[in-house]
Amino acid sequence: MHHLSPDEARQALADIDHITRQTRRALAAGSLSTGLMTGGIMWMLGYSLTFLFPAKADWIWLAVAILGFGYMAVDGYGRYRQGMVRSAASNQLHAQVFAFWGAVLGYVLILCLMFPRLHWADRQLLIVAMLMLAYVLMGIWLRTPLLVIVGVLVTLVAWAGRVLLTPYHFLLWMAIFGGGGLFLPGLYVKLRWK
Amino acid sequence: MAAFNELIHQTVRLRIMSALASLSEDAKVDFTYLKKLLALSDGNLGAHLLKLEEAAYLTQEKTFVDRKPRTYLQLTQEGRKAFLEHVAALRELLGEE
Repeated sequence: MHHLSPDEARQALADIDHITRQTRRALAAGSLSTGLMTGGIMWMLGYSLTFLFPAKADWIWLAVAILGFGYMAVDGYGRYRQGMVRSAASNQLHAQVFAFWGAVLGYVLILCLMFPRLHWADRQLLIVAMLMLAYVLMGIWLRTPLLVIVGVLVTLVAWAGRVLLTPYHFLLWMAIFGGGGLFLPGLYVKLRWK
Repeated sequence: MAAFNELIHQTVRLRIMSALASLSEDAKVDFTYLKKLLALSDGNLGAHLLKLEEAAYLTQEKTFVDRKPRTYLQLTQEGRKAFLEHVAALRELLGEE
């Protein structure tokens, strides 16, 4: 029988904790980094093009949404096909996350229809706040504090931009700080959570 | 009193068991994925997996994905129980439980 010292036991528990966290992070890293980085690029493109061509805003956002969500779907399917971890429980969780985002995007559209007279910049802020609330809820649900932090910070940044800047400069602000606020944490996850 | 497990306590095997136990009970993990995650060589991981398999703590399933051979690893119920008991024994030693 091996006699273990308290220090050895403490070290073993620390190793277990480290590997557990590392494994869960590595599993989440792929879809999380893709989601954040693609979302960031979508915002950078959507807001900067809307800033440059405000009359074409609806078409710009439609194209950005199709490209962005299309890429996320293809990437997710590719990861599923790779099958690094096979689990019915994990597949079910992915389906729940997919349904969650479907519901969020549906409600964002409904809110836009509910308030047609809202100033377009305020509508943008409302959409941002709804999406960031979804990030915060996902962070709480999946126990991923990074999502909570990103959600709260981007909401505050967007609010500050709306209050301090003109509506048109708010678009540029959101392209840089909103898009960047999503892209950079995504890049961090991609590089550090492996 | 929880049982301290000599087989699991070896550093590499402890890391393998920790990684597999951190996933859902039905999770099967690709050999190459686990190798990269734990930064181990093929031979090193393979040798320790064999010991854990002999103790019936995990199973190895060889299959083909897109016509390429793949090995999936899954913790058995016995393996998960032994790991949890080992963790409990470590905590008991520190007076945490």
